[in-house]
Parts: sequence; C-alpha cells; structure tokens
Amino acid sequence: MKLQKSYIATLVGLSIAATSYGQQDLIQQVPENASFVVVINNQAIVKHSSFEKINEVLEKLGAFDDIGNQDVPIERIHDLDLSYDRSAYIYKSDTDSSYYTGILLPLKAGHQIGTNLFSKLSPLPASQGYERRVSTDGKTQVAWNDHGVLILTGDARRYYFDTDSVAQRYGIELPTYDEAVTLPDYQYDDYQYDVVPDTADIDDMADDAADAAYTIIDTTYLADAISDNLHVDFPPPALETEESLVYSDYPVYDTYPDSTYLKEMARNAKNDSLRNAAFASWLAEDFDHYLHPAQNATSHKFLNTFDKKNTLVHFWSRNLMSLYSQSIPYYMPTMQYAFVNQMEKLAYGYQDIVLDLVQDKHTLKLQGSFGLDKEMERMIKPIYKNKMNRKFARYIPEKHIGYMSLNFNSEAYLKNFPLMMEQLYGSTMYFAFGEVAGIVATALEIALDEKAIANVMGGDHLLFINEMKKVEKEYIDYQYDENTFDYKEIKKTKDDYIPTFLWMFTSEDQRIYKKILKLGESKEKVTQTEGIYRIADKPNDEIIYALFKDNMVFVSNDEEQLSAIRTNRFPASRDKHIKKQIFSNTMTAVTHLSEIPETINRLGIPVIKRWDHLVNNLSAYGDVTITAQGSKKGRITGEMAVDFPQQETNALQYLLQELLKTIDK
Amino acid sequence: MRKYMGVLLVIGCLTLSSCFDLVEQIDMDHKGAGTIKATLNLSKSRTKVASLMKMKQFNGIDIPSETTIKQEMAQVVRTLKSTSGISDVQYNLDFQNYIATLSCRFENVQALNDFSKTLSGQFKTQITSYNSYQYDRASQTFSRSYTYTPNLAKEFSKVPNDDRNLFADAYYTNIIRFDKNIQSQSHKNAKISANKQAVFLKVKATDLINGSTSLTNTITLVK
Repeated sequence: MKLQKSYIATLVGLSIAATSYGQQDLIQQVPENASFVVVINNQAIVKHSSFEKINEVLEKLGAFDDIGNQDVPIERIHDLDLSYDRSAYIYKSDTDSSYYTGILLPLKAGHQIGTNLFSKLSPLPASQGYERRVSTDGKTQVAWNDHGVLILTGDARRYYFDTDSVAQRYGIELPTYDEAVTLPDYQYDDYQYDVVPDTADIDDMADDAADAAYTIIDTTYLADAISDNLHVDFPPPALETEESLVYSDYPVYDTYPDSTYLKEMARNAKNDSLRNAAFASWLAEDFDHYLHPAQNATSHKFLNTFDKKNTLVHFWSRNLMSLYSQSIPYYMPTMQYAFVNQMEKLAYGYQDIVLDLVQDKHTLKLQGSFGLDKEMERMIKPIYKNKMNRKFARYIPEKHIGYMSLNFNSEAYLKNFPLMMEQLYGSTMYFAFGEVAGIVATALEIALDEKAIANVMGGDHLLFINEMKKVEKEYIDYQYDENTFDYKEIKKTKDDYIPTFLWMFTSEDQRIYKKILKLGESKEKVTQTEGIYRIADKPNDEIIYALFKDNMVFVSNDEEQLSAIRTNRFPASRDKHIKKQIFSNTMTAVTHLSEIPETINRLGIPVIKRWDHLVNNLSAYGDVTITAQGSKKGRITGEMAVDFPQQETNALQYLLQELLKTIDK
Repeated sequence: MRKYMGVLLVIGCLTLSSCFDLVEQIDMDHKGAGTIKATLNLSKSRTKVASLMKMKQFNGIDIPSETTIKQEMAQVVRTLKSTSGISDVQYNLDFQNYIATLSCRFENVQALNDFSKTLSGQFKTQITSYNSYQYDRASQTFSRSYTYTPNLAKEFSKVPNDDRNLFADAYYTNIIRFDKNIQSQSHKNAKISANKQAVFLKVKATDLINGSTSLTNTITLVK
C-alpha cells in the first residue's frame, strides 16, 4: 500500500514539476490510435495550487524516496527535470497482440534526466536527436530530447498466444487437455472382489463387522497380567493444540512431488519467458512509430478541447468499447460469451468519452460527456425532449436537505423501448430469448398505448427531502404497583425526529391512482380526509399521504405540507438557482452538505469514529450537485460538483491542506 | 455479558435520554425455590438500535445481527435447560420494540447461582465472582453479595467523556418478592412494598459502573 501510494505520488509529482520552457505541446506525440489519453494540465494545477503545498504533500507521501539516485538525491519537485508550462500525457494503445502505455512528460531546459532518473537502464543507440534507454527485461523503453521524454511500456496479451498458429510461431507450448493420464499398470482381473451371497442378511453382516472391530477387554484379566512391580513412565497426555489437530499424514500440496504439476509450472515459466521476449521485440520494432507517430491524436476533436485555464486533468477515451475492453477479463472476448456480445452491442452506440476535473473557485467539478452514434441519438433524443411542469415551482419548499429532479418523455421512452430491446437482445446467440426478442418488441409496440401510459405518468418528477419533523414515537415503559411491585408494560411517547419528503409528478390521467386508493379504502388501509389520502398498511408503518391537484400528484409523509398545498398556503421558495437547475437539466440531485451533521445527530445515525472529523466538517461545506443533460448536439453531458469550505484560497488548496492533515495523522 | 455490555455502552453513547432498562425480578418462596425473570428494554432507543443493527461493527465493537442474537439466546436456553435445578426456561425476543426477556424456575438458591454461572459461561464473563445469592432457611435470611468489578469500568473508560453523560438515564431495577412478610432489608436505597412482601431497588447504570452503588442486600423474613 505504501509502495502503491509512493508510486502514484511519484507519477503525479513527475507530471506536475517545474520550470518554464516554451516548446511544442507533447500532444503531437500522442498516437492517433490511442484508446484513451489522460492530460495533466500542469499550468492549471500550478496556477490554482502552490508549489510549496504540492511539494509538502508529495514529500509526505514519500514520492521522492524512490526516485533519483544516491549521487543526485531528489528532495523537492524543483529538483526534478520536468517542466511546468506544458501538459503531460498518459495514453494507452491496444492491438490484438499487445497493449502499450505511453507517458509523455515535458522537460525543462538543461535537464539531466538521463543521469538523474534513467541511469540504471541500459543505453541504446541515439536516434534523431533522442537519447534512448531500455530496461533489463526489454519491456520498457525510454527516449528523450531537450523538450520531452517518452516512457513506453506494456505487455503482450496472453490470449493472443492461445491459437495454435501463433503459439507455434513463437514456440509457446500450449497445454493439451486430451492427453490420457498414464495410470500405473494395474491388473483389474486379478482383483478379488468380495463375494456377497444374495441371501446375506445385511444386519448380520453389520453386527459381525462391528464385533470384529470392537473387542471388549476383560480388564480383570489385564490387571492380573500386569506385574505389580512394573513401573512405566508414561508421558503426560499432550495438550490438544491447534497444531496437533492438523492431520499430519496428509502431504502439504506445495511439496507434493506430482510430476504433472511440476511439468505445468515449468511450461508456464517457459511460456511466460517467450511471451515477454516476443513483447520486447515488438516494442523495439514499434518504438520509433510511437516516438514519431505518423498521425497524432490532435485529430480527435474532444481530446484537445477543454477549459485550459481551469481544467486540472482531462481524460479522453476513443469510445465506450475501448474503456469496456480494459475492464473485462482478457479471456472473455475470445470466448464470445453472450453477455460480452450484448455489452458490445450496447457499447458501440456510444462514442468518445470525456471527463474533466475542473477547479472553479471553491468548487471542484467532475464534468463528463459522451458522444452518441447516429442511431443511438435517434433513439435517445426524443426521450430527453420533455418540458418540466412549470407549476412545480409553486411547491419548492423553503427549507430542505436536498432534492432530486428527473425529466424524461415517458411516451418516447415507451415507443423506443422495444427498439432498444431488440437492439440489445436481438442477435444474442446463446439465449433463446434473443430469437424472439424481435417478436416481443413488436408485440409490446402493438399492445402498449404509449400516449395513454404517458398521461398516467408524464416523466417529470421532483422530490424534496425536507428538514426533520418532530413526531411522537411510542416506547414501552413499566408501571410498578406500589403494593406488590408487580409491574406492567405501559406505552409512553417521546419526541423523535424523522425526515419528511415531498414528491410530485405530472399526471394528466389520475384515474388508476384513485381506483387503487379506493380499493385501499375498502380494505381499510386507506382513509381520505378533505381530499388527502392517508395510507398505512400496518399500525406501526410510516403513514404516507397523497393528494391530487390540477394535473399533479403529490406524495408525502407530512400531512401539513399536503394540506398547505391543497389550500394554496404552501410557502414556496423564491430561490431562482433551484428553479434554473430543475427546469434546465434532465436530471438534478443536490444535497446541502451543511445540513448533514445536524440531520445525522437528530436521527441518531451512528458515525464511525474515523468519519467523525469529516462529518463534523461538513457543516462548512456547500452543496454536492449532480446534473445531467439529455442529448444535445449528439452528446450527453453530466457534472458532479462539490462546494468546499472557503477556508483556503480555492478548492484545490483546501483539498491539499486536508490531505496534509490526513497524512500527518 | 461483556460483549453485550460493550454493545449497551455503544447504544448508550448514541442516545440522549433513557437508553435502556434492565429489570430483574425474582419471586421466591420460603423454601428457597422460585422464578427469575430478566428483561432488557431498549424500546426508547428503538430508532437508534435499528440503525446500529444495520452495521457489522461500530468503533471496534462487533454488532451482533438479529440471527446471531437469536442463536445466542437459543444456546443460553439450551444450556439453562440442562442445568440442574433450573426448569421451565422461557424467552422472548421482540425485534420491533427491542425488548428481550428470559425467565426460568429455580429449585433452590444454588440453582439461582448456577443460572448466573451459565450466563457467565455463555457471555464469557465472571458474573458469579462478583454477584451471588444465599438463602438461610433456618434464619429465613436471603442475601445478595455483590462485589464491584473493574471490568465494567474498564469497558466504560473506552467511552469518550462527552458520551458518558448520555448514560445518565439508563437504569437497573431489581425486584425480589417473597411469600412471607419481610422483617427488614439492609440496602439504604431499596424500599419495601406496601404489602411487605417485596423489595424494590432501582439504581442508575452509571452508579453501578463506577462502583458508587452496590447491590449487596440482606433481607430477613418474618419467621
């Protein structure tokens, strides 16, 4: 863990170090076929934080411990040979046979990186102005000039060597599972089977066997047989320990002299060695193409398009499939599991993906977007085309802990759902359902009256979690009879707090809801008073209330709120920011972090000790906001933002400060 | 018991008012036989107990699940049923109100002590080393010996200072009833019922934990 932390810290440190030296952006050296690229925007990071704080954090994480050598110790980021004013890049490229990871770092003028960092690597002939080095195993190569350094490493894909032709080419020995296991020469015919008479009485046999095993010893006889003057020192009985309970006759597997196992180990070692050698040779061959890519990644529009002033880290991926393939086990694509096929079908609808970590004063944002292909956009766009009911604005509570809004076109969703289902399951080979997916999809299309269903629930929803409400909760206490001290259970009440919520959604056709509630009334689970329905399944259950007003349905556990809505006395918030968020986003979720500590306290939710500090600090935070926009110009965008306390200059400085405190602990 | 005292301490930390009541009721005849019923009532902290039971561990203390509690209780009952002098063992676990009761009949006071010993063994604590009962039939004297043990104080010391105050409203109640009139009892905080056949003692859990209250009492019956 310490090593991992140190490694990560080193990488971060290397990528954000030092002096100004205006040179070309290293993006020119990111190959066009990169699956994903991470851009570390040094300029923005340095602008929004401080060298001193970054240095302190890296120092405490041990980032400088593993780099440098004894002659040239690295103690501060200023000692590194790297440049501040240009971005660093980390990319990955994939082929069927291997993958490469490239790290491009800008260097400062007059750097000595060869001596300081790469002195232990073996030199290679310099070429085209680049000094070159290679690692001992040949799986990493490094090249640098006056402006930048490329570190290229990677590995071969194991499954590539699983085909016979490839294995043969590289001398890989594939396991042959159809080999017969050689058994010792055993004469089965000589085996003397027990001849059991057909008329054998099994009980008698069992008794005989038991008698043979159990011999009742005549102890009197034994006592007479033992000499009176016989002294035998018997050791004390061994205490039963855990070790003594281990069945020691069973051989430990690792040292079990199984020749098959040893052969397997030897074969694996040989194959690994051959694979590594193959990769090393590919790397040697391909390195120049990565050092001077014929086509670089600047052709990808969204790779280099981001807010250069405020984006700290920018991530770009070619498409969802590239990302997805990083995460599945290496053998899955070759096995062509139906699930993999389905995921691939789904994944191909999404194009390039972008993620940005943005510093905006005291707020840190993670912004993301992904492109849709034409077909996916055609399916999805109508779903996001929906207008939020403007009347919701009248019922935004003044005080709340958080809220969530969702706005989609349920009619369009239902219309496109069969198509999406057919797309996803239609060509599945292994599930029988795939064959009938098309039929099911068509049947749904015919059976569903999308418009009618959409009238029941339009697709726009708004949910508020309000402040704690004081309620009376029952508990059991005891009443003692003074005469006999007999006691009986009595019910008492005490004040307690519960969170209340208010959920509203548009419904043009409310008949089905009212019919369900009417049924509930007949079953005495529901009662109605002045238009407000009271729903409680069991006596101890939380009571839920429902109200129908205009073309909206309101659901809450606070009767007072619904009553205020019904009588037009609801004190609505005038906060324009909330209204803007609700009405302009497809999805919004906001939590007011400052309300959390008191909420947790009132609800009595236990907080683990190590989270105490964080929970208490939340009162100084602002909001956590998550928003998402539907399809616009062929992209779906989303954002998660956290408003940090304003104790430091900006959010990044605050985070670094908190990190320092955590490390110190 | 230590394990569960840990849990009770945690519950105590979480609540702002009467967190639990432990009621122990002994009904004894003049021959020394009778029934004992112990009730642990956490209903006042129901919401908080429910939150706690959703967690596996809290600040280093393992929180038993409902299943574990049921299993442990079943084990206690099995053990008690096989204890000489103990019979008619019954229990009830109410996970709605978080109330647990355990009762049984004892043939003599020695069996009553065995009841405590069984609980000691089950919960891996030495209740019997600091709490035991005696009954002298000849002199019709029932006595309870109680020695303060630092174990509870040790557990309690793990509770942060701010949270110790929250234990203020947790009580231990002990009721002992006889079939004859009581002549006297020696505990300064206990009281005799109007019908003179029962002794009632209610003490704060904190007083027990810090040793400022004892449970030692000698009750003499009218001959």
